[in-house]
Amino acid sequence: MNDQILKGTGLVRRHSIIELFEHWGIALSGLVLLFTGLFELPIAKRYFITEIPGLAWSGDFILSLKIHYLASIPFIALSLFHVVYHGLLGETGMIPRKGDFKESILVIKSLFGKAEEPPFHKYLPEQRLAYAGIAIIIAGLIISGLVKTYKNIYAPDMSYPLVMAATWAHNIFFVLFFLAFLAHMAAIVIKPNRPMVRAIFTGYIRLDYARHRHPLWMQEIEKGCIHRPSGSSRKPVTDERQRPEQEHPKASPGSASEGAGQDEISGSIRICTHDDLDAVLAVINDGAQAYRGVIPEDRWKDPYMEKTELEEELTQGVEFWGFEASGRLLGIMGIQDSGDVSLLRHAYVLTGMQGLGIGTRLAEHLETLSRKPVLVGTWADASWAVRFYEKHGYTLVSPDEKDRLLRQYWSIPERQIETSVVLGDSSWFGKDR
Amino acid sequence: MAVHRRGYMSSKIRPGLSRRSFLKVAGGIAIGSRIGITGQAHARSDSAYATLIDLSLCDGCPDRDTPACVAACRLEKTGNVPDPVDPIPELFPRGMIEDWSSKKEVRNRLTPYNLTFVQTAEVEHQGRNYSLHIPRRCMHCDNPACATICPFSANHKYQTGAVVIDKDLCFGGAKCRTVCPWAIPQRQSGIGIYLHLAPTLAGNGVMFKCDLCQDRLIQGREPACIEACPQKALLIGPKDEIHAEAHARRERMNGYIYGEQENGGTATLYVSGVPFDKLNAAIEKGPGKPHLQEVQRSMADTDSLGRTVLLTPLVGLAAGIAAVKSSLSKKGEEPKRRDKGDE
Repeated sequence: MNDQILKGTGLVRRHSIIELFEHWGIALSGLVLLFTGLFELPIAKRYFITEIPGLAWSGDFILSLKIHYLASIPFIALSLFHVVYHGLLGETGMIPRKGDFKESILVIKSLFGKAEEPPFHKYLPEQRLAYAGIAIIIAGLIISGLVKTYKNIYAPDMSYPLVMAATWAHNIFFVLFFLAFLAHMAAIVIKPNRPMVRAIFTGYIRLDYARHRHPLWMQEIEKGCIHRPSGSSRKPVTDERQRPEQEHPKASPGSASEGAGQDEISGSIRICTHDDLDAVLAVINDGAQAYRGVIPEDRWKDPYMEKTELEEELTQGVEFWGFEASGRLLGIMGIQDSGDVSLLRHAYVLTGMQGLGIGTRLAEHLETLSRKPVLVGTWADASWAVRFYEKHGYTLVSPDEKDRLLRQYWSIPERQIETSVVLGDSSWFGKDR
Repeated sequence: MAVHRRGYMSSKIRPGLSRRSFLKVAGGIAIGSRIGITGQAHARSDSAYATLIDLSLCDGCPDRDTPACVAACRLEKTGNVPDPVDPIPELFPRGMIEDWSSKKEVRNRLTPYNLTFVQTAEVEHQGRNYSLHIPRRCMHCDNPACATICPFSANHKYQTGAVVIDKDLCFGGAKCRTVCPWAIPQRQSGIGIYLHLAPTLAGNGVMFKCDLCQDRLIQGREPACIEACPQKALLIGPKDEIHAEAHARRERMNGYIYGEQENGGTATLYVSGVPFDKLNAAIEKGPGKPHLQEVQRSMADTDSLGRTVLLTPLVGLAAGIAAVKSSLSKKGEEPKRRDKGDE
């Protein structure tokens, strides 16, 4: 797989040169085959097609056959090349998977705003189904076409049932090929699919589009081709540095983004209102899955947060901001004014969307909102969260100070103070020291 | 008449053909085993028949209203053409309806109701005047474009050598007539399968032409016209025997053959003491009245392209394997480089 993010250009490579060559070779020769095949019906004269400038030849069945033969050479060669090449290299991303049919229906519903679009791999489920469909059609056309060609040259008197089967298979697959072509054209007219169109011309698509619509593919790319530290580890990592058992808040980005780099996912940040309560809660409880088995057992519960607790946080003055793409809340982060400091509270990103830079975007945004020093608390065991904040310029405070701060600025149980850590931003340290 | 007198000794190789009918067709030549495919281009079935039309024998049946072959054919094919619907649907956006149902009696040309007819030619050759009669019908080409190019395979060449249109499948688009060098197939509009689909938009009836009495051949009987010929000017037999006989007769009369090379070879060999270009010049030609010119096989120059097409899958396979090999060898190098870079 040659897919990779082109740093600094905002583009992702989706198709290799070979794939573009295959696609256009098969597409263009396929169109020529479609038309010359159509002209093998006695319609060109009857329907005035022969009178269209440049199409006078369409009434000549022998000439149409020659062009048909000629076009079938790249068509057949590239189709077989495609199967052999990608088959042997194990590039099977377009082969339908279990559940594609159901998911396709969901996607189609989402086009009409009746469902939420699920996150995609490199290919959409209906793309995989369409691929299987067109592959069967092309295979049928090639096999029946070869039988017909053999008959034309060597064996006009071959078994009539065989000739009949080849002819009608060819005719039926011809109709299906035409319908598949129309469906293919219709699919790229659909608005959400349009950003993919450039890939088939240039090989590249926009990174922000890929991040928001094909996050699973991006995860594969980032795990594979681009070497990044494994950002979304859920393993309970014990980091010597924060063994100091201090504790307090529970705000922490559920394994949010390492490795988003400078490449940004498209979406917007907006403040959350009471209307978003359920969506915010959903993100928290999904993102908090990263804590399962990591934080002390007596601190874990499922769901991680009840609605009433969240409502309580709001009344306490926590202001929630959300990262939204395609109308879906993918991540949230709260900020709370607490006297002479601001607190970052409750930072979570949906498990499927972690590692894409959403946490970074939220954190950076919230920092711009506060003129005061910013403190953040998280579970001592959530090493990825600690690393996240450290990467964004926060530093762990000493164990003693942590206890003091948690008691001063947060209102949380003693047990939580024990199992938490606190980090402060640079202005906290600058001011305090 | 030599072939006829000798009679065939064996009919085993053609199930359905009785020994008796072979005796009648032509006599006594032993036929070796003829099953199998030779692999050469064109129709190569060894069990195929050919026909011989000896113009030195055909007298046009001067004592009859209708030549015996034409009469026998019409009798044999009585009821072959169903009655068309009335009215016959008009065609959109253009196209001519061809209705022969009110002209069934026409016998001086090919029509759906008249699958063979006799041309006459008054010619002068080497100082002598000849009045020749030429029975005309489908030539049953060795590699008939009319059949191979039929979009619905409603037209097919059988191993008997007969080229047969299935009237239940034919849409009457007349593509077969367009690609036939002699424009043999004749259309009757207002009948056939097209009526059940979109009669004004697609199709225009059913095409009819001689089928060499395929039904009779399967039963081991001669075609009706051959059976009826009082002059024994028409013969049928195994292809190579008929070819040998035609060559022998040509030698004897220092004459000419038509149909052996035409359109890549046909199952109908005309033998004549008068050259065919003279006959062609003398006969009345036009729709339903085919010429006697030399004709090349129109699809011949598609063969080389077609052969290339048949090899194309191998090219694709080979290219795919080669590309995989080159891709894997590149990938084999890359991780090494990367590892070094990381450390």
